[in-house]
Amino acid sequence: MVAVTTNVGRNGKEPGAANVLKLGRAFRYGVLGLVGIFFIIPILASARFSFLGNNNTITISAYTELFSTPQFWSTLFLSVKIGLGTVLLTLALLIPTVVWIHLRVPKLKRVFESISLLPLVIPSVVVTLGVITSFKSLPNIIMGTPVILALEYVILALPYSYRTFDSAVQAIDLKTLVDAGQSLGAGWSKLLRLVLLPNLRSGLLGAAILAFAFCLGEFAVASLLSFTTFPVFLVQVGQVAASQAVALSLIARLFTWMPLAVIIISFGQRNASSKKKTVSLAKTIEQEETTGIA
Amino acid sequence: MTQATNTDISSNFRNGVKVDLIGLSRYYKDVAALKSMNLSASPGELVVLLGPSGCGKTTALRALAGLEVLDGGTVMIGSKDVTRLPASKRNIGMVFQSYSLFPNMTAKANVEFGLKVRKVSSSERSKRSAELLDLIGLSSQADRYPHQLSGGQQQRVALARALAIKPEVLLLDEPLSALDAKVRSQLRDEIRRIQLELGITTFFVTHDQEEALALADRIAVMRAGEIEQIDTPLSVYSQPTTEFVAEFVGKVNRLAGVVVSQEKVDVESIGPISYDSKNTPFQTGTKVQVLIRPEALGIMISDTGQWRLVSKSFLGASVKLNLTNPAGQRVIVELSTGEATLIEQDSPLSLFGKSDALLVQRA
Amino acid sequence: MASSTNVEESAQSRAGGVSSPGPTELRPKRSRRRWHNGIGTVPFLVYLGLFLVIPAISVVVTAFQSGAGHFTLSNFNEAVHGVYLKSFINSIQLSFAAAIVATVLGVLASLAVCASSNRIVRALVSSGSAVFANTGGVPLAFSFIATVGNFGVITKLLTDAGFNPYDHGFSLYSVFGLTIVYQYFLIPLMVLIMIPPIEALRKEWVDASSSLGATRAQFWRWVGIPLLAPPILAAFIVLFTDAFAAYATAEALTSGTISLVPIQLGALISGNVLAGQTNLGDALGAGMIAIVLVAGFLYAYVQRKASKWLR
Repeated sequence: MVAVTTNVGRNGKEPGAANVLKLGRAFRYGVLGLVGIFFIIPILASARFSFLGNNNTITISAYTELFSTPQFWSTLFLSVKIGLGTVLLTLALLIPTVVWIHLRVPKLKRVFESISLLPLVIPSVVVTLGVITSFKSLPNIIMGTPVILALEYVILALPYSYRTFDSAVQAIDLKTLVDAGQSLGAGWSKLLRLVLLPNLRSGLLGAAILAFAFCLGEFAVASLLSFTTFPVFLVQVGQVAASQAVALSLIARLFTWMPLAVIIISFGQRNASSKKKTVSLAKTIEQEETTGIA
Repeated sequence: MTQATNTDISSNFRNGVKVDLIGLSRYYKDVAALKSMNLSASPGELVVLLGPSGCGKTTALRALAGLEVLDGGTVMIGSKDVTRLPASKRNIGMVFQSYSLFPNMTAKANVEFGLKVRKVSSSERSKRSAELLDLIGLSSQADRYPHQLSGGQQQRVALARALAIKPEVLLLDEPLSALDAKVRSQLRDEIRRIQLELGITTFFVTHDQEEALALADRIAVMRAGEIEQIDTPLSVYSQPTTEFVAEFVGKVNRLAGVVVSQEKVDVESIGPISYDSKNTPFQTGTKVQVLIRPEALGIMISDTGQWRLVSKSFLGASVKLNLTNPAGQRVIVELSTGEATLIEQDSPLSLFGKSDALLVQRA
Repeated sequence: MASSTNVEESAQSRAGGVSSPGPTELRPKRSRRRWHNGIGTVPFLVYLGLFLVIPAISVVVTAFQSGAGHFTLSNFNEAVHGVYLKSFINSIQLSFAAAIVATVLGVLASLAVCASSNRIVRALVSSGSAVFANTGGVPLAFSFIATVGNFGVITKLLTDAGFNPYDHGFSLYSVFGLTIVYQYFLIPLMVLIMIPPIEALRKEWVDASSSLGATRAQFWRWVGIPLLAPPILAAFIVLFTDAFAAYATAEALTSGTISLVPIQLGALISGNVLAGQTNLGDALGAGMIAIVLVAGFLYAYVQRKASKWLR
């Protein structure tokens, strides 16, 4: 009987949920260990696979061959270009819109938040089909070049970029800042340059990185519109040389993980004291996961 | 809230039980939260555990509830040793600081929870929850969810829920601290009213001395896991046994002085003040520290007065005056509003002792 | 007591009601200002309309058109027969199975994380989940090929040990294989979604329920599970949609050999169109939109139910 209460106070400083759940150590470490193994094995196996030569020798030839393939560099370069274009377009669209909504029509905040999630409802394969059917007649400069990819990626990355930027604006009490700036005689350009952008820097950075990471990983739209971006190149390699493709996947994974790790860590630190922001980041990440990247 | 229902409810309660906490000890790693604490409450008594945060008052309450495991000691409810019983078998009602209502249940369902656990029939449950919601004045809110209720209403429901199981003892763990001032004093009075009506033995934890003074039959002032003093509110306020209690319960002035006789001490810059020497006999000539309540000092306007007014704050029925003298000493005096109007910024003032010094101790 | 409070409240609201709208002459000015207020959002809405709404609508509209532009239901007729029907069934089965497995494992993992008092474990799992949930797509497919593909590292190890999984009915390049692979981004997603609601369970509720005489089982039955069920259900729907729309992983892994809706649609887009199937792809697309919309409505419904007792 007493055992029922034994754990409650023993570790007095535990976070709330730990006290609520009271799951045995064996269960906790068992579950986390098994799940952890499931996540680590493919990475280790990929590393092993990519270094596997003939007759079980170890070789780095998969990597050297990749780096000497011109297409590796050209597709990477293309994806980076598309990514930068997407980021610029995204910021150009987001900054005025979100700032405007917060200042002039705060009642519509939630509405626009939901609107920004719309791209999640329509699978990217369907969007691609729609782009083809409706834009057939657009001039070649748009439909025939990767410009169309950047234009669509702005939309497809919107659920993450919008959320991130929106919560950053939410966190700074924009209206008070603008009122204060104006009462001190700052015009709109000064206000933007001296007050808004510095305060929103991390939010902008977060939105930009998320959009960029999305572009580096997106496969469906690019391949269906017949553009050989980095992920499309990866699949093409896979049909010819498995070990190179695996090596390339490891590299590609680093490309998307590093920027994501940067925002997760920097947001984590910045938000250590502010619960509100943490929640909104959690939301952002959660939304993020529901992408069509998969 | 008819008279009939109230008697009805109180008749459901036995006439309070005696509670004894004997030698309670609790350690977190090496830090003692409770150091062999003893406390007894007589049937129907309301004991307030008062102290700063970390003094062990909540630990003591939770140990009594069975939510905290003890490293030593015995908990007796009535004549029954419940030390080994888990919380769910102790028949104790508990109200927490806040947010303790189950958010997925209406006010009514929350009140009925303990009865449902006890497999009371649903008609019986409805009857009882209706009585209790009536007792706390929330009959019309029965079907609301906790988030639709104000903080004060939520705490009322929590009280009703705790009372629904006809507990032998009622425990309240800072139930008012999350509320704003007005609701707090209102609910405080109501808790006292209901407690007296039901005659249930009650422990109330708080760090708010005003709350403690207003509610308690007896106050146990706690410090570092021990009870520093336990007595009626009046005694704790006017006859504190230690400096800690004097300072925690109310405001004090701390001044240097010399003992001049068995009953009098000469306080620097003020003059002779009487003190109760029966507990602390000092030799004449002993240098001492004298603690004096702000309202125990009187003010005279006199040309030889050394004291000057620094600031006044109006408290309603009384006024708090901050005074200083050329030696740099500072004193707070509380006067009735009428008296205080006579004191002006530049008046030369002298002080005298109106009533006994609170506490005299060796310097 | 209660009645007096109510009187006060209604009196207040009445007073508020009178004072807030202000003099009538403000009205026309107001509506004009409202119009101005909307202007700043126009570029954003136009962009969204152009690159998302128009394409989506054109898919739905075209789905109802024959090659010559006449209204017809034959595209849908085609879409619910033969290989296309099979692809819908496969897709729904795959997404459902993958989401169920990920929900169970994800909930267990989130419970384990939340029950752990070790800060490092908690930080590791939550940021790890954020990263891994983004590890879908092509690279994921290849790392599983390297692991349990025909020539994968683990396959080889098992074969050397005398157990070739491919001789025992296992194949990575099947619906079953995809179900496993999808766990790699679905479980972390589940963990990310479930940690906040689990953390929101308050210690006071456990304490209150045990002081009221309830056992732990009774606490879970009447409080814990009712509180966690809506978020779990909502998360399941999110996972289902995510798996349903996933294209890259399946395409890279199976090179289009498994019949899933996104894969069939992709094949149609890439030009493998037979005569008489001009707008078939649009019908498939419209079907996908319909399924995701249904999921979306369910999600909204569950969320609304849950918000009955949450802020």
